[in-house]
Amino acid sequence: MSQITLLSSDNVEMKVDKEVAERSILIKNMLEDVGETPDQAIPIPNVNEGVLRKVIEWCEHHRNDPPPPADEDSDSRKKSTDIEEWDQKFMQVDQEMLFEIILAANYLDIKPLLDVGCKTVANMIKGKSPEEIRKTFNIQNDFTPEEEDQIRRENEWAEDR
Amino acid sequence: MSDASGAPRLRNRISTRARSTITRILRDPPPKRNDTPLNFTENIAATTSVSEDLAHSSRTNDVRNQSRGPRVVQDGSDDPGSTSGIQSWLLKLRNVNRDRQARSVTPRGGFMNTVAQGYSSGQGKERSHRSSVGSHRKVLGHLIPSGFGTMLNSAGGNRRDSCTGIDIMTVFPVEIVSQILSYLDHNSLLSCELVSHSWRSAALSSHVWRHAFEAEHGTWKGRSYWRDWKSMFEVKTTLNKRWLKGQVNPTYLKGHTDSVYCVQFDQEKIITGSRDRTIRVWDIATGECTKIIGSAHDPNPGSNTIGYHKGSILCLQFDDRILVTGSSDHTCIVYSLPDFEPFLTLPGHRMGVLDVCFDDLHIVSCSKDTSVCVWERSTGLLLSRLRGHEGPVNAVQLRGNLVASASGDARIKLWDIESGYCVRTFSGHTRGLACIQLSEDCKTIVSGGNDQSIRVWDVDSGSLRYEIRDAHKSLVRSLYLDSQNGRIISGSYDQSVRVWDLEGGESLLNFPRWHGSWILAARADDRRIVSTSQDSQVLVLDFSSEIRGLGSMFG
Repeated sequence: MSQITLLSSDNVEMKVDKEVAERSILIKNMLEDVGETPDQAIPIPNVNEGVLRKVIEWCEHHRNDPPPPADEDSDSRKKSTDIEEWDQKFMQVDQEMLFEIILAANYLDIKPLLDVGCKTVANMIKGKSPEEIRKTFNIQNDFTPEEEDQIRRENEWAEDR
Repeated sequence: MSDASGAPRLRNRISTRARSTITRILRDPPPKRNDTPLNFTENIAATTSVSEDLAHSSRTNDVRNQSRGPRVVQDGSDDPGSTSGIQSWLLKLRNVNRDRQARSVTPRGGFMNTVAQGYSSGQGKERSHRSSVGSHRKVLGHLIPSGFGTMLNSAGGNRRDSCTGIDIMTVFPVEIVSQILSYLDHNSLLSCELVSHSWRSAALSSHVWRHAFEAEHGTWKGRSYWRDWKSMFEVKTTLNKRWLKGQVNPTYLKGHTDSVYCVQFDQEKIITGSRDRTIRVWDIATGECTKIIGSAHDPNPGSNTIGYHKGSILCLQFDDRILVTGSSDHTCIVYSLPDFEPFLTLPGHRMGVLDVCFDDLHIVSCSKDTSVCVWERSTGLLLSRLRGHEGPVNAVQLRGNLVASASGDARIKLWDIESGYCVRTFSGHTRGLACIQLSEDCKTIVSGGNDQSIRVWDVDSGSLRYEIRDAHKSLVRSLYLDSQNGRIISGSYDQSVRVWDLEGGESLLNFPRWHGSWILAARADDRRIVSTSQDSQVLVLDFSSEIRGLGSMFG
């Protein structure tokens, strides 16, 4: 099994199986273009050590997954917020790490990980009142009472009557 | 190009707090931060001349960016900052390879550009698919090496904080925000709107509402671009409530002088056919009769070589290009639309034509003479005659390769239109059948007739899925299957129009005695039921009157 070395933004080198690193389409395409296994470390300038280790952990676990469906809007991907058990546990991190993982997955082009991350955030929002969402994400309410009334009136149609 | 529009928008949405953080980071960059591509390039700058140039330009960019503060997000779309680390890594690798292989380098300028661009905005194929993706990836690419990547750290302070105080709606690229929100149902989206200004603008995204709409109401079959999906959701929700309550605005269209046997309508017009031997076209918005087709109403009878029906108009179907009518005079007439000029007659039945339907290739008619005829749409040529029923064939429907027919012999037959073979017979009704519907996916047949029941059949297995016993108190004369909304509309000689849930056959609505006599035809769409009766009237039940934003859905 050939290995490659990744270099995090804070200059920590990590050896990874090529197959694992290729869960990242960014890295995969790059390696394909280069055409051989490089002996230098590949810099990942936007991802620090902690986040990169998490991302690699995810890629290790999912190294044998079939490729995601090509269709961007495929139903299974968009409709359900179900997350498999291992991924759920994997995503039990503080919000900052969760956000960093999402940004890293986006940057490294690891769609299934990006999906899991986005679903996790969606599940944190789902079914909550505006106040509960604010609490969850520590958001300041910057509406005036008048603005709030206006929005509520606009959306009255959705109330069960 | 996309940067120019995407970046400022993102910048505007960045909260004051985030902006001050960025400004601070950009003003005082950590001197020893090793995460910029610049450091890496510097390391290798000594070894290759090409990299030196690159390092120089990177450095210049960096300085410029720092002095400009937050405006960095606007900078140079031609310099994908996020990738310069990889870019220089590639350069280095290539140069090493070149040295190792001791041969001259093939012209690589183009190659480098391609590689850099390719990595900066993800896959090329993706860009065409989601137009905004490229730009936002690029924006993110600029943001991260310039300090955004560490912004989460700075703003969050203590890493163990469970609440970071980071507003994901302003920090995440639009495409990620959009993906997150597209997993939400409409109630959650409405909650998001009330969280804060930044959340509201994200939750109002039409893209996000499209997902909510289609998750709730099924795939939208009409034009999908340039729509206000939230407004459509509102319209659909209000419509559904009215269908639940049966809240309608009724209008009677008067003009026919005898039984109205058949009807079809779209968003502009209603077309009806009657025992008075005329076809009438009605403006659906005003209820006015805009056209009468029949010999007594032709101001210039000589010009029409095809002629008019010499009997009752028993059935009709139209699309954008043609109208086909069937008559008790044994023939069908095909008219071109929108001028309603008759241009074909279909002679071939020996008795009245009881039902007709067509698709792009075929016209199928059925008759009291117990046969079903398949005609070529463009020429009117009789292609085949399907025989097998032992009674009048009262109703027929064509979907793809399949023709479903219902007969007075109480049986339903399913035919392959190419071979002309009967591929399945459904038995179970105890008396003659009057009407049949085959679902768009060809998986379901709904039938009704003289035994007053409605039966729903599974086409694949040929078995009965369920039966609505005593659906009406008299003959079930007309059925319409609205697969999209999961509704069955039935009209009966008991003078009522009823609505049933396709899923399990529960009764949803009942409009008893809105007509003064037998119901002969009833059809529906998202917003209306139109029924016709022996009382010579056409009844429009409008569920959509005075709904705000109706045009978003039906405009």
